[in-house]
Amino acid sequence: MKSTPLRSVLLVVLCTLLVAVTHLLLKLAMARSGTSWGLAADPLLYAGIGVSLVGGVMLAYALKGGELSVLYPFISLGYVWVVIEGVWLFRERLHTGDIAGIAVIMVGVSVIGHNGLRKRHADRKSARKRRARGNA
Amino acid sequence: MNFMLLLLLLVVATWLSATGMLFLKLSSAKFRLHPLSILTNWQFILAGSLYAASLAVYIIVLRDLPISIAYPLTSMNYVWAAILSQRYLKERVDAWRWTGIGLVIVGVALISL
Repeated sequence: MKSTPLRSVLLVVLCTLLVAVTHLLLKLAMARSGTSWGLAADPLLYAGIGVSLVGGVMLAYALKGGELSVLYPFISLGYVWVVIEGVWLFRERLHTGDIAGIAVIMVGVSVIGHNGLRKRHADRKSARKRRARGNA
Repeated sequence: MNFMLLLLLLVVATWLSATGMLFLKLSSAKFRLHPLSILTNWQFILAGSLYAASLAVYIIVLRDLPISIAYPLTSMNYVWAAILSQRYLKERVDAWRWTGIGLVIVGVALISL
């Protein structure tokens, strides 16, 4: 089996959203705790770790059904969410480089996703052909 | 620390994280949502440890290297992951996939610089 179902791709995208949530929780934890001891005692830190563990389990599920070389680059969508988060929640300035970067990442993962999913169709077609030949 | 050593450490960090991904993929074959099944899955534990090790190395690098240089370089990850999946998972990484990976790397660089 050499193919990647859409379900796996969507799961990875969901994982990258969880990464963005982790990032947010850690950022808030770091902002409100002055010392490293304060940070170590902050529930937000553990919430962040918890969310990323859930993300890890989800990623394992996603990888179960698909190809690593297709799914792994989708992790880069995490950068996109972090930029959006920064602009939206922290009023950070959006630079031209950010917009261009987001666009290029989107194109890149689309190329990979299209390639992986198209292969799946090809696999299905050849499996159908094999079956048809078997019956003949 | 000198620049070459920092670069070498980044190569190590990204390689560790990509190897972690490889083991996560290998662990996923017998993955079930049960605490015991997860804790006894040595490949899953190894994947987590490799990822933690890569983070540790990355944090060491960040002490001396500005994040605007270190961060885009971590997208070396995608190259390692592609090489590892080609070699150990027998996946076919064709020109389209390499193109996509190249675009992702350029995009990450644009965001960080």
